[in-house]
Amino acid sequence: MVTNTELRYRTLDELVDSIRIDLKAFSSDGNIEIQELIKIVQACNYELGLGITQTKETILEIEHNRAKLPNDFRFLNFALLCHQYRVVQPTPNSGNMTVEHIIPVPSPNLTTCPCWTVVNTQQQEVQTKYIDCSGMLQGLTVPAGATIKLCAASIENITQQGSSQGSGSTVGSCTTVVNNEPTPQEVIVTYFDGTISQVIVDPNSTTCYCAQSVSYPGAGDVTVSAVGECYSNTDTWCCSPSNILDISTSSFCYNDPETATFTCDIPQNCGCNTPAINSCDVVNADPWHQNKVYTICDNTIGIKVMQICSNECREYEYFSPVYMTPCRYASAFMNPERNSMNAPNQAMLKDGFMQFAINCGTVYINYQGLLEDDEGNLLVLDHPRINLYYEWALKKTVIENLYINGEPDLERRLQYVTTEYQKAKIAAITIANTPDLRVMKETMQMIRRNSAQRFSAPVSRFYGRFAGLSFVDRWANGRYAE
Amino acid sequence: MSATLISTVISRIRNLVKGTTQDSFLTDYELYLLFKKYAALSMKRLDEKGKLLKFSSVFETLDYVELEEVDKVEADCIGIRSYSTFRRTKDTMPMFTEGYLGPMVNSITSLDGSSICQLVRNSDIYNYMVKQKNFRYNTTKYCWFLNDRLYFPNVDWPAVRIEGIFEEDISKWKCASYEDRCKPRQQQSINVPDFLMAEIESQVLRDLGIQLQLPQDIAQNNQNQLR
Repeated sequence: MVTNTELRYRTLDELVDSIRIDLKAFSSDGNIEIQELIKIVQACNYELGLGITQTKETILEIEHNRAKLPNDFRFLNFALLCHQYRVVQPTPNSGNMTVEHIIPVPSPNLTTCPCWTVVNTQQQEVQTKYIDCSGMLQGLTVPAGATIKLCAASIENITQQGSSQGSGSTVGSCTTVVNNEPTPQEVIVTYFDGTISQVIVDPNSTTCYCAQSVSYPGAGDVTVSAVGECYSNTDTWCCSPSNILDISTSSFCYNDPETATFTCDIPQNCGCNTPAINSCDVVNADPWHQNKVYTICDNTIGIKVMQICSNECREYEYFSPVYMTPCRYASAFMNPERNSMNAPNQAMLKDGFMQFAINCGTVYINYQGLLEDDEGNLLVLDHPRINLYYEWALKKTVIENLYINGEPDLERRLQYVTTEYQKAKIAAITIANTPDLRVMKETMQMIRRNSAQRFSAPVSRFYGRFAGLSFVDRWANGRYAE
Repeated sequence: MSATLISTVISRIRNLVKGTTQDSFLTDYELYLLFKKYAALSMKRLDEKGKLLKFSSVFETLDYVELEEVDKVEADCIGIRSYSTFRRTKDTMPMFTEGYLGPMVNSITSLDGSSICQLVRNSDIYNYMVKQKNFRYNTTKYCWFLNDRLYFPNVDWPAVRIEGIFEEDISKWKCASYEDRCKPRQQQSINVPDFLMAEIESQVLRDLGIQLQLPQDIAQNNQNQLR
């Protein structure tokens, strides 16, 4: 269906009244029963495809890990978790002034920003850098022996500086001993503090020593060589450099509803048990029935979601994506390797609800809805040619049911109506499946590109941008495919 | 067009059978019953062809039929689990003339005629409909007959308006005066289209011809014992 025009709809009652006018005799006898025709209309809507459905958007409240899907929900396009929103209210006395309130969504929304635990095992403070959850580079000072928790996208760890200075200003290096003999061999190691010891090296093994000197007095196949500097880690020396800070992460940060900042600890005021900040809750317990939700541009490159409640208007500007998991892959059996979106904001559709890992919050969904108006009336597409399809389908049903119930002399009428219905169906489906002009242009360009490629394939090794590439590369990419 | 009175029809038949003098074997009631029998047959045949409803002269209207609230047991809708209210006519309905598809009801509407009720055969049909998932899209009001009363689910009207062809006098269901309600039956109208009268009368005469022999005009006037 073309998208550069707005689709029009009419209600089921209007459609049935239209055929009552045509089938006057059947209508006056009470043979046109609307209950028999509803399923036919629904089948016709399904035959015309998704192109005629309405794209709808709404905001749902998450309670006890799930949110009830709207009654007219059919397919989900995408979902976004909402963070704080702005409320704009006119002042009562002077209509021109407005008061803005930043109101956080009362929920401990998990984010995709990891929570890091940084341990400084050094005896002096360490300075490093990190990138915070909003992408800004920040500096960090970790006191000596301290453990801090931090929300950051990434943290830079500082490695030890190499030093060959030992105690007493003795100069040494990292020495490798390779024992190729089948029996243990003995080497003499002189450490930085002057200690001399005989160390057994296992057969067919390689060992590193951070010492002033290492020597092998034997005559076997043992190689002693200096490989680099020694590194200090408090009071020990080792050959390999190690990180100064012990950095690890095992959880994600929360979005604090009070300050709208990232925090590692779950905020105390989870909104399910606190009084509702917004007054829309008391207006109507059915949020998707009365709330008008729509998206608008925010005069930059972003989009904000407007939610019109009865006495205020909310603007949501900060979102987190929600990754939908298939319902049949229960979380306990889900293979984390297959699921590349290993994020906390996951949800799945089940039993008419959208189930989340978070306890409470607000989610914006964009979905393809059933053909219903705001009052719950079934809608049909209002198009001059497609209307005939609906009408012939209903007429065929009326006469079919009368024929099946034993009414005489209906065969010829049924045959005529069936023929007209089939012709109208073909025309309607052709119109409904007509692609958009943009899609047609892209398809035509792709066909032309492919044709040009096939045409120039035999000589592409000599001309064009692929000239000079190896034969194997061109063969692998199928440029000679014909 | 003024409706034909029952007395007019009877006297027409009496004239045809030369039974105008007092006759103990040929009463008015017998003639009326014969007429009614063949009238019902003719009207049913006409209704089968779908032509009866075009004659608005035979229809009568009950402008205000009061409704009262009842529970679903009385409405014979025990199988309905969802919250539904039921109302029924306070008084029993007058007898409707039977047509091809049931009582000849032209329309059952709200008092202002804006909402139309669909008459179904019985409450079972409504029960089946309510159990459908797509019933929420059905905005039609329904009603059915049960024990000579009309039952309406999910309406909040105080009364309804009914138009149909009635067999009996409906003065007592109307806001008629005392004199109208106590009118003798012969002075009441009969709801049969005029163009059917000839056909019905000929059938009545054929039936009566079996019972009596029609005498000659002058020769038998003073001698026939029937008179």
